[in-house]
Amino acid sequence: MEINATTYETIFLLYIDNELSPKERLQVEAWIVENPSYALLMEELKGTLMLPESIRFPNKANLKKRPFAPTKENIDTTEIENLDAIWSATYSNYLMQEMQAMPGLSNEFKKGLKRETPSKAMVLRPFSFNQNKFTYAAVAALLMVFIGYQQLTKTPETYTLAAGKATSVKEAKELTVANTNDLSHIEQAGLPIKNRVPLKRNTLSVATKKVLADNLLIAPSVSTNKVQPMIAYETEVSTEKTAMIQTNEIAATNTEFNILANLNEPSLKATTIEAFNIQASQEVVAEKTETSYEIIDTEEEDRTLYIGNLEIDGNRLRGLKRKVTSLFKNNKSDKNK
Amino acid sequence: MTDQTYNDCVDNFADGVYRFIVKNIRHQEDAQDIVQSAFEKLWMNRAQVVPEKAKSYLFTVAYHQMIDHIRKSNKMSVVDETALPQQAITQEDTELKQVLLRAVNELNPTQKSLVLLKDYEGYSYQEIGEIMNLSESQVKVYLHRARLILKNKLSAYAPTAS
Repeated sequence: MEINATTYETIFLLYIDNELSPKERLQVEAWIVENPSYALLMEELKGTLMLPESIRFPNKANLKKRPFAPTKENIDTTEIENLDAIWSATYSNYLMQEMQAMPGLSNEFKKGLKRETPSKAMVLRPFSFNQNKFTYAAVAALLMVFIGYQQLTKTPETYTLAAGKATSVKEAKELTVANTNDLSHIEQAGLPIKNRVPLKRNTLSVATKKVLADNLLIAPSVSTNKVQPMIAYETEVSTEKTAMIQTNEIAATNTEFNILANLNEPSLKATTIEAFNIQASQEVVAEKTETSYEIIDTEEEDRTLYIGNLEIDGNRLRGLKRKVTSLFKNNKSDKNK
Repeated sequence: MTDQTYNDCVDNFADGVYRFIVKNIRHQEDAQDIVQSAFEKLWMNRAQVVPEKAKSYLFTVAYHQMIDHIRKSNKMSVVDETALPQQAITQEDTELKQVLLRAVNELNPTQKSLVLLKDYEGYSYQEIGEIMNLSESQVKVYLHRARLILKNKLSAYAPTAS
């Protein structure tokens, strides 16, 4: 720190503001001793210092905060224990007299105030129970449980019964067991086993029936409800055809000429007609190497529910559910109004 | 900050804050309100305020509330210094003190606050800067200007007094 004619004022101000170190302060004091003409300025600057005054805040106690948390020492437990007695002895009687003196209150209300003890003067509010609401809720809950149970207990017998392939549950069970046992062939054929939906046949010829009978177990394994062509097994059909030809020699050597000739003779007429039918059926089989089947998803069309021996119309159930829902909505809207 | 620490702050700093405010605005009731508000704010924020910084916090809050008060009222109701508590006057040279007080009151609020914080509370430039939201160099410059103004006024008084 260098004190000279240009910096002395700033240094003096720092000196009186006590912003200099002790060493610097000594330096300043020494410089003033060396230059006494600046002593007056220093005194004048010292005169600007305001001496501390003892001004006190008048309401200091109001600023203080008392401890909020109660302790064991500052809680009078006897008062809490005898709260009922204190209440009865003081405020209860006083309030009773005040209420009795009020002109606007009914006598019934005043009588209600005459309780023996304050503890018995509890107000019991009635439980707000809406019977209608409860009924609707109970019906809805039962329906939900019913539908849920039905969905959980859906069995193959139900499908079979719904499809009309069986007349009773027992018969449906037997049919299902039989189909399940035969599903091994379907698995070997590489077809998926997902659903057991009966088929609607497009062809009704004898040979087609045969093919259908062979493939009856295969067809239900298709899960889609679209019309899907299914290829019959030609080898099996051919074997059957050969067997039929062997049993009837007439059919094996049959020509148009022979048929016409045989028809004229009564002894051969029946045999010829039979042979003709066999031939015709063989031709149909040859033509129908490919057979298409239409799979119908009965679950969508028929909503009948079966639980044990109980049969429920699904459409009616839906109607009932809608009615219950509308009742709930009406009740709610009436309350809002 | 605990409740006890807060109460200690009331004991230790309430007088200083009040003195600082009442010297600035020269109105006892308003000064008391400001001090009370400052302590109320300290109580509300006692969880965040470190006990070591409580004094600085109180002066900062009180200073800003005082500035707001001055701006709102915009009337520095002149109160006779003799109306202040009697124990306020302890300086022997009362006449020179009155001159100095008058000179201080003629300073602008910033300069007055600087002088009061420096002389009464003994804060450093840095601490004053934190309270008044000024830089250290600004405090230094403003305070030196205030000192020179006071010196000139006292010098002007001295020849008439003599």
